[in-house]
Amino acid sequence: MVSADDIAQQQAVQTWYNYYSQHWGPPKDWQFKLQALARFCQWVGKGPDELVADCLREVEGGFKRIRAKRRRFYMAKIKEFEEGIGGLQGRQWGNAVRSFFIHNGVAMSADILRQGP
Amino acid sequence: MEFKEVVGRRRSIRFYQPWRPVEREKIQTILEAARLASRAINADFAKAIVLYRDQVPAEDWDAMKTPTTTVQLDTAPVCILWFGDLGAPVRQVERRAPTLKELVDVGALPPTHGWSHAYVDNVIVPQVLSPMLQNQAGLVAFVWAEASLAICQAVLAAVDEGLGTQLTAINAQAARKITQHPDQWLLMWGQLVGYPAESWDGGGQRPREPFEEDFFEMRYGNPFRRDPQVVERLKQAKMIQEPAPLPWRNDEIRYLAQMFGLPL
Repeated sequence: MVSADDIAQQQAVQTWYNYYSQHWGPPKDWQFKLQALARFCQWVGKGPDELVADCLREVEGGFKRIRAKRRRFYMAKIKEFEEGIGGLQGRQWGNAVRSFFIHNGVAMSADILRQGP
Repeated sequence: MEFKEVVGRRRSIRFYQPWRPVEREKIQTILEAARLASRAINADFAKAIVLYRDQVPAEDWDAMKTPTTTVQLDTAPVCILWFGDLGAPVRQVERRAPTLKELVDVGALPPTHGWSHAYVDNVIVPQVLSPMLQNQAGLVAFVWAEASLAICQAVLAAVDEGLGTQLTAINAQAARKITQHPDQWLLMWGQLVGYPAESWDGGGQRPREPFEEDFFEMRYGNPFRRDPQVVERLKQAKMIQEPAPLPWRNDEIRYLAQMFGLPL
């Protein structure tokens, strides 16, 4: 079982924390976010640094380039992960994982919630 | 709305009220404004296909997304696909520039400036327009520039109608599947249109580089000096507005994220 403590010190998690904090201030729900990411990592079988490395590759000049197919793959996996939990809670867990990717430079969003009658 | 305020209010809106349709007459007004834009040889470079989100199958609409066109496409009720018609100058050459001759006839291109039907036939068509068609890259640039003038007017018209709007990238293959547009129409932008879910000012007027970096007088390197009195007058006219970020912008985004179930 991957725990929040297991992943907290990974570079990608530190990057997430730093960029999130720069934008929104220190996350008040950081433990929840870590738990959500840890659960996702357990589910997909990869750690946070691996997830980011999977989506970004180094190119000449020291830049990083997105791997479009891997990005789409993880967007679909997050959706699946979220649907597995279900409801608004699932969305919160999914968004925590999305936030991790976003602040590591892998752009993604979620389909908007549509509250039907 | 006064023109200066329209210019000042324009933002790229990225959160729309998905539940609120746009009145058809407002969409027509946007298209009418585009149709009246300046255009070289008075040719119809700009073409548009209006899409309504609720009339397009959800997966087809979703397929139009790109990495930078996401939530806004989910929330906008209307997307006007704008195209540059590469066939527009071709048709002019084939028909010996009837639109130019029309401009001669209505006094827009007068003999005072050297214009005549013969000039169009003997010089403009064979020596100016025809060679342009041999250079594909140049043709694309020409059509893109001319169609962009129409699109800019469409954007401002949307603002004048009290709507939010944004020019955004659209997946061309997905657009082709929905619209079945002609091959020579080059997809340029999707213009999203709707009532803003965020504040109309989008959290403030977007940053710009210093005025004198872009504009010069008489020669490059001699900046056009920005007169502060003119700036003040334009602030009064609401063309120059409070710069982003307004103090509450981040809180607004948080609430919007909560409303739409989006990540932060």
